[in-house]
Parts: sequence; C-alpha cells; structure tokens
Amino acid sequence: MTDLESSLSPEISPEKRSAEVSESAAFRKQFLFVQGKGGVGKSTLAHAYAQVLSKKEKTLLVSIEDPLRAPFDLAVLSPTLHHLNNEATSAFEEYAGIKIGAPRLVKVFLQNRFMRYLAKAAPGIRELVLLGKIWYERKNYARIVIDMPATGHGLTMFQSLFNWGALFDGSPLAKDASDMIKTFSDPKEVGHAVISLAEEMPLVESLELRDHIVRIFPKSDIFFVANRLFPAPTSNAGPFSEALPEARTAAEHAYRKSRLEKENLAEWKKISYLRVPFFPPRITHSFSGVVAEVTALLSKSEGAK
Amino acid sequence: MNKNAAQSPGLESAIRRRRVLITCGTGGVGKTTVSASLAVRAACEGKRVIVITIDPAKRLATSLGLESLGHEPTDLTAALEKASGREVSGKLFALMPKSAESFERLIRSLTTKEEAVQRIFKNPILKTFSQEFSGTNEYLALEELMYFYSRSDYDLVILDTPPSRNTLSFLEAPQLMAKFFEEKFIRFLVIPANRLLAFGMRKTFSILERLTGAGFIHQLFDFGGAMFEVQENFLKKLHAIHDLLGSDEVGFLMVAAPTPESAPEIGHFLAQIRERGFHFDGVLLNRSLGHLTTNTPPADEAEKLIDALKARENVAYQDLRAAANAQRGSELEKLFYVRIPELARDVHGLEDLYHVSRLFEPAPL
Repeated sequence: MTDLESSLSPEISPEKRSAEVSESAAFRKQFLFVQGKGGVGKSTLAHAYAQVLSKKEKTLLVSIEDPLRAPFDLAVLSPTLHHLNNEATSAFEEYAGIKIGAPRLVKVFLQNRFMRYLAKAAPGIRELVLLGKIWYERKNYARIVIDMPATGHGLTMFQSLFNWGALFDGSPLAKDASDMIKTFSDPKEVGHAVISLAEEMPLVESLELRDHIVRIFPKSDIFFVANRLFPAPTSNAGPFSEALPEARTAAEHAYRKSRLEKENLAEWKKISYLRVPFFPPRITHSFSGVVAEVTALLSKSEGAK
Repeated sequence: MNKNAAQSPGLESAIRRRRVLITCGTGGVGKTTVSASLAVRAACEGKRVIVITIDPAKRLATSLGLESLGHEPTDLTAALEKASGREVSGKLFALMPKSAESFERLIRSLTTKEEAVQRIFKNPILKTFSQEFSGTNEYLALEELMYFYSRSDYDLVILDTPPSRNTLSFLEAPQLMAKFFEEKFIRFLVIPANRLLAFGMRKTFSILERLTGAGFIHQLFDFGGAMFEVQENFLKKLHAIHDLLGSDEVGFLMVAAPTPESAPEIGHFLAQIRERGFHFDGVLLNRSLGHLTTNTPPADEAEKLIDALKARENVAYQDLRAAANAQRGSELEKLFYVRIPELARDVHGLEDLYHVSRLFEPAPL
C-alpha cells in the first residue's frame, strides 16, 4: 500500500481544485491549522507535523486552552520546537498591553470590571484574541502549527475576525483584524489540514468543514488526512449476522471494520488524501509513541513532492 | 421495561429522577449517539423525552437517519415503534436548534413590545450574535433547555453539548452574562452622564473608544439602550437558568472512551462540576472492545491491534477503579459506569439507536 494514495480527480471544478492540494504542500506554509471533528487525532497529527517542520526551522506548536496545562505555558520540546498552551484571558491581557502601551492605563483598563465581563461574556471575543495571539507569533517562528478545537469552535475563531472586524470599523482593532484576514486568507501563508477517521460522520463533517473554510477564506489550501485506518484482516471472519451492529469476535470486527472503512472512504473519492494507519498502542500511555510513528510517516510524505 | 435490556440501577435512577440530563465529553466518543440512545431508552420506559443537540456540526440528524431536523421538535415516536417493533409507552422528540430562530425566540420571550424587539434586532452587535459560528451557541443552548424544561409536555430533556474539554465555559455562560447585565453596567451604557461617576470607568471607555472606534462605542450604547428595556426579564431568565443547572432536577453525564486519558479527564470534569454544586450522575464508557473474543496468539495484524486496544482499555478500567477507590465517601464512589460496545458498522437510524440503547450494561467496576 502506498502512503500517498490517489490523485486529484479530473472531475473536480477549478475552484475545488485550488482548495484541495497535495498534502506535501502542508510543509510549505507558515501557518498550518490542523482541524476536524473531535477525537479524530488532531493533536497527534499536529504534534507530528510540528516535529517534522522543526527539523528544519523554528516551529511553534499551539494548543488551544488545554485545561490540564497552565494558561500560556510555553514548553520547550527541543531548541527548535516550542509548545504554547494558548489561552484567551492571557491573550487578551497581552494584546491590551501591546495596544495601550502605558502600563498605568493598561492596569486601569484590565482591572475595570465592566471590561473584564465584556471580554469574557461577549461571544466570539475569546476566539478572536486566541487567533490574534497565533497571528502575533508569526514574527517569532518560521512555522506555526495549530491544534485547533473541534469543528464548530474552530470555525468560530475564523468567523470572529469578520464579525468583530466589521463592528470595530475604522479603528486600530479593525486594522489588525483586516491584516489578520489578509494573512489567513493567503494560501501561500496558510494551510488547513483536515483530519478524519474513515467513519461516516467524521468524513461527511470534514467535507462540510472544507466548505465552511472555503466560504470564509475562498482561496484556502486544504489537505486531507484519513487517520487510524484499520489493518485489512488476513484471517477468516467466520459466519456472522450483518443485522447485528456489533461483532462477536476480533476477526469479525476487523473484517467488518476494514470493509466499512473502504466503503466510507468513497465519500472522499474525489479528493487527494494521506492515509495514516492505526498504530497499535505499544505502551499504555501511548500518545508519544503514536506521535513518533505518525511523524516518521509524515517525514516520508514531505519527501514525496 | 424490556427484560432483554441490561439493567443499570444508576442509569435507570437518573432517567427516573431527573428532568434534565446533560451529556458532556470530548469529541469522537459517540456523545451524540449515546445521547440519542439514552433518549430512546427513556421513551421506552414511558418518558416523554426530547433530545437537543447544539453541536454546530449537526450530527444528530445523521444519527437519527433524518436529512435535517427543523427548528421545531420532530416527533419520532411512531418511527421508533416501527424500528423497535414494540409499543413505546413514552414519546420521543429530537431538536437541533438554529441560531437565528433561537435568538429571536429568546428576545421575544423577554418583551411583548414590538418596538423593543425591533430595536434589538437592528443593533449591529446583537445582529452579529444571531449568526452561525458567532460563539453564541452556548447561550442559546441553555435558552432552548430552559424553554423545553418549562413546557409541561416533556418529562425529560436530554441536552447533547458541543464536544469540549472545557464544557465549563458553557456552564458559566448565564452567570457571566448576568454579571454583565447587572444594572450598574447597563445603566452606565444607557445614561452616558454616569461616566462622571467613576474615573476608572471614564478612562476605560476612552481607551476602548481609541481601540475599537467611535462607531463601535455608539453601537455599544445603542446595545445598552436596547437591552435596558428587557434587562429585568433577561436577568430573571439568566438567574433561573443558573438555579436550574444547580438544582437536583438536573444531572450531568459524561461520555468517554475507555482509554488511559479518560480517568484524568473525568477527574478534572468532576472537580469542576463539584465546585459549582452541580449533580454528576455518572459515566457512559462508549466504544469498548471488551466484548470481542480473540485468538491466542493473534492471527494477524488486525487481531494484534485489537489485543493491544483491549489491553489499553483494561488499563483505563484499572485507572478508573483506582480513582473511585481514592474517593471513598464522595460522589465519585456512587457514580455508575455503563459500558457500550464499539459497533462494527455506522449507526444509521432509530433501529440502531434502539439496539444500542439495549446494550448499555453496568461495567464491572
């Protein structure tokens, strides 16, 4: 099996084609937004992409509000790979500091209760400042990989730029919002890696996600990853009932699962995507082990230009 | 209740006692499927139940085999009877709220004055909030929850929350909004002369104006003026939602996959729930592979993978047991765990949801 399977189908319209490029292009952008439905392996892929990129250039991996880490914590994973836990309140404070300047005024502003509630309660403001922090770091890192929140929240981050940009019309904040839109809508600067499992709902949702991204940023470069693909079984599944949704034996489960995945991937028949196999957890707390396997796979994909 | 279905006293008691069940959890654990199956189970036990999904990705529709759910609840009782081949003593409804409609209903519930309604709809700030992906889903979900809770035609409302490790932002929404609408601020926005009152406030506003522009400040004052008329009713509503969430009519359920990450995640979530005085009912562990029999030694790569995943699942159960043991005397000890097997095909409709609702079994913890 080749890792880089299938190519762009000739049936795709020119607009679609520009929105879906070969996955090796993922390695040529300053910003890589790793997106998809919850639980499809966004974090694994984001870590792996960041690992590969950091071998050549200074890279920042951004997580969004991981509750198990301190806000704004910056972990140094290697000299060229830093890992930020982006968090809205800290981002808001940092941004206010940059914009207002005079420390005394910043203090008055941030300590005002009205402002504090406004910043927390106004829908979309948290998403806006989270994205602002990512944009701001473009000066400090050659590559930025963002482990985005699940579909809806991720899209809110992009949409907030337009919503608040319009409300702040003619102001310095609107200027920043419009500069951010300019950067994030440029396919030379930004790539979107849409991750999915070979299950019906994530696959359908990944195409909806693509359409939403293209609606917000029409020229986006979007690449797809089918993650955690079940190995094709070689042993006999034995007799079983198709009517029962759950299998009885491992052999039956493997047979039905890999057959189902093949059928489901028909949803993606018109797009080019990277196939990532389901790596068995070698150790119980398996995250770093799996990241290493996926990183090795992506390194190969980077070479295949 | 059907005698073929496995009994889980904790789960049955939650369905019987609560008027609202809120399912939480990270993405990809089958939260929507589990929530819908739970609703099916409750309907079969005689409850008139409505399941609401606010996931912006509209997944309930797929689970229920419906093209798209409207803004009004869809009655699925007859379809469930057909799919299950049995009489359903309760009723089953499903709803996927749409931002714009929820927002309009919320505003109209606050005032009968058409003029006030129109003023709110015209404000650019509020207009923005009624759109999709504007970040208002959390607020509107709670509004939907409150609306269906207060109607006498439903015994049980099941709310499927958006996937998040931070479900708390969603629970904090009414309180945050309420603080913002406390009269001090809104009065300030309505009567700009009040700016004379506080130096800090005056300074803050001049900075805000410099950053966001005069146009925005004008809209903000207009927003204050528009909301002032409905402020009292809005505050009442926000407090009512907050009180409801903390009352013993509402139970929180966590849906998780049996992986080693679950124990810390459940622990974190439980701590947050406890901090707010909410009621945590239990954990539904979905996508378990424990039921699959394997050959020794494994016949091929696929079986090796399943063996490895089963081993990992056992570690997850050990971690959960250890966490429960460490919490003797607290509510974690009383929690129920339900195990739901991973399916070998996609869930297509009510027939499958009915089947899944029969598979909930108490985990041997």
